[in-house]
Amino acid sequence: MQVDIRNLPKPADTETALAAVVAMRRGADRLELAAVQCAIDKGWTWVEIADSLGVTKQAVHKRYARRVQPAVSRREDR
Amino acid sequence: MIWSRIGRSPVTDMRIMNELFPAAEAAAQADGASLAGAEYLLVAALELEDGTGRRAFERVGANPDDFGTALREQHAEALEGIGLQSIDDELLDRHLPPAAAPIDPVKTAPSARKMFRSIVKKVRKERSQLYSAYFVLAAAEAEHGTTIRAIRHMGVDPAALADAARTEIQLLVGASDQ
Repeated sequence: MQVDIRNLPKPADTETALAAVVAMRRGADRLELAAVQCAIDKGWTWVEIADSLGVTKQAVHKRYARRVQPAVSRREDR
Repeated sequence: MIWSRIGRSPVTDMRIMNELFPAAEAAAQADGASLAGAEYLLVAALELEDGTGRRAFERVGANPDDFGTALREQHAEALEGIGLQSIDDELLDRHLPPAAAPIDPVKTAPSARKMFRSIVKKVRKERSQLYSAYFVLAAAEAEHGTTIRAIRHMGVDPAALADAARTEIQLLVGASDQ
């Protein structure tokens, strides 16, 4: 992802700027979920994932434990 | 809870909510979102059996099934507006885990709570029951946010869509009054 600063919205274009923030946040959420699933699939521990994301183990576990699939069931799916 | 009793048909309303909120959460999960916002509430409402929400879109010449695509496209458009290449949604989709069982359907994003509060207020005021057109009406009346941006992205005039939703509601409210 590369930002061309010449295209950054002018301060008056508030709607565009705020919508872009929402879109970036959505993209970051989606990327984080995919990356956490990938890490679990590769056998990473919650501590390792938490350290990589710069959050606590509790925070990452609370957010993703029920959302991602355990590595074993993912392998069986394939 | 704000939805303990909404309109004049509490059992029907409760049945609808029991269907709606898990569906909204599933739509959010499928998109990789952690909480269901107003846009996912609308996606779920468009699948409700009463069909009034879908018909409201059809009344203004729009296909309600295009709303999901419009959501993604307006996100990409917003990123492009600040010079960012849009994120490859299809690539990410392939790496997201499938939607899990509903985790906490009652827990929604602030935009969904705001939308639902406004709907409850309208349903009570009109002594109606919960129809999907109320979700379309609430979405079309919003000034800002992802949902109204997606509606505009579809080429739909929000005021016309709001009128269409009101017409659908009136048809059902009028019929049940007789």
